[in-house]
Amino acid sequence: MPSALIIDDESMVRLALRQMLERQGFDILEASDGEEGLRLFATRPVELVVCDLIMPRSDGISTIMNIRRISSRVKIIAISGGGRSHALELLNVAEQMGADHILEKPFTRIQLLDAISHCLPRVSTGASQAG
Amino acid sequence: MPKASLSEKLRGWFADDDSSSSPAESRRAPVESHRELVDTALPRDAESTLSLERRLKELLTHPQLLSAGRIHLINFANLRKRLGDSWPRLRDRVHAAADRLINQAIGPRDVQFRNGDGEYIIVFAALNRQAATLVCAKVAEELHRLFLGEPELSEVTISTAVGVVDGRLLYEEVSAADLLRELERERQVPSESAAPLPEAARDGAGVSATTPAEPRKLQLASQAFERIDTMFRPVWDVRRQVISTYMCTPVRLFPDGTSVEGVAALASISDPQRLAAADMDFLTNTVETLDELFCNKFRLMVSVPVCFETLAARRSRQEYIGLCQSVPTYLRQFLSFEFLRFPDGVPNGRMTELVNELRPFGRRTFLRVDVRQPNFTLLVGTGLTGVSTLVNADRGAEARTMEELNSFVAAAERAGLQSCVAGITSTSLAIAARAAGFTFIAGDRVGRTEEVPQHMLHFGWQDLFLRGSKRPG
Repeated sequence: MPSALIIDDESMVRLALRQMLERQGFDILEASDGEEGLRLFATRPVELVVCDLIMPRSDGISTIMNIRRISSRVKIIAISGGGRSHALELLNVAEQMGADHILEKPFTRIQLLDAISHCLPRVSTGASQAG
Repeated sequence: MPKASLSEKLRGWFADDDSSSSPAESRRAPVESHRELVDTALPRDAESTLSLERRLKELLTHPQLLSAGRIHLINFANLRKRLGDSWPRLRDRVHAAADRLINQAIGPRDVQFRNGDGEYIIVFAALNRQAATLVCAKVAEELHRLFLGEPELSEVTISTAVGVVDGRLLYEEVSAADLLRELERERQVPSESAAPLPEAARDGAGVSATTPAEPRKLQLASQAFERIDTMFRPVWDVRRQVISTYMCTPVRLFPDGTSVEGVAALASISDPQRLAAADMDFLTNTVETLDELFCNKFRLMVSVPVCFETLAARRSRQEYIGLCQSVPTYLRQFLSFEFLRFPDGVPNGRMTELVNELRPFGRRTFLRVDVRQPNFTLLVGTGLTGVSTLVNADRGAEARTMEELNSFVAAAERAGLQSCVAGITSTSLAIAARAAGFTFIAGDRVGRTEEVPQHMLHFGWQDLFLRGSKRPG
């Protein structure tokens, strides 16, 4: 069973992502900030990381850079939109710093499944039938 | 029934001979010590009005104090009237400013307290009548200047208790304009008979008074090292991905190697003249540095801090503007001003006036405000370019800071103002600041203070993340 790590400081976002990913057969780990996410990733590597960018104490871009230092193979989807503006600017920076795919909040389930298909083609998401 | 003014109360209290303590008894009763008498007159929140009245009455019936003409009333009714509809919103700030100014002006043995919305009573323990009246006039003048700009001195009046007639206090009222004219006359014709005036009153600026009984202060050798230096902190223009501006930053160094900077470095200075001198030092150092860099083909913007106290007082403002006028025209396009220590709620007209005074000498004007200040409607149309703020470096408080940043920029944008944030020490705050909409970001994560600013250079997100707190180059 593939596993995924969700890093987001908003519990509602984590819950929504967990539900979407569990339906695709992922085993889920959750972290509420970058530091916790990095600790979890170091102890239990996963195939997919979904990481928010705007978080207190340890932001998403630094977290993505640190995860990338540990593993070049893990797939990372950066998500953002919590601020008032400039989400795309920050997502582009995340992509430059190691994210495989970016998603601007709010996004649909299909957009997430598309992103996963893009990152992990061998994981069946049924994205084309979904929705 | 209309509320009695403090002066009416005083007259009433004095006339009302209550059974528990007749004036004769009061006079016979051992008056412990002057110091104690004054101390007991200090009001506390918990004290009842009755208790305050009794103590005040004791104070007023003490003939030594009364005959010296040391009891003074400052009435701010005119200020309240001039502020009009703004008064309810500004009331607390006026009172806070009045408390601060009076406490700066009076000595440790003097007493001041406020009655309701617009009256202050001050009892001076040692100053003679002329000196005390002048101190009051300077306080009133300064307060009017803070909130209204140039005060109409003839409308500022000071009342002095000069004696007792038929058991009632007799007051003499004099306008601040008359007092200051008198002071000016005495300056020109020194009189041996004239009693010495407090330093503040002699200088005609500031409101601090010295009294013969001023407490001794420690004279530490280390104080010589407590100097304020001029440093420059890089500001990141996130939209253009460039460091093109440096904030001229006051830095106070202590003997143990620690330092504080920015507004905090100036916090210990309460004397407006010292602040004005510091502001002029910052401007001078900045322009001289900028000129040297310009001649060496360096191109950069520098933002210079200037305190409200410097601009609020006409004399120091004129001196400051005079210095600005000596800035070569070719450098003015590289100069910005950052207004510091402005009280909340400076009226729109007053702000416009101050901005217009400095606009010819620089490209931008920013106002430093608290990050929790959510409303900039008073700044609309003043000509200010933007608002700047400083955030707490406490990482535990980042979540709250991020919310405050969002609210700050939202309010700034509603007022049509750009926004700048200093104190950014982490990438998480830098990201949050950008997400909130800040276009200018400063702090150790972008770059530490330097003795000399550099030529403008490209600075992108990668520089922020990959090069940490060190400046590129």
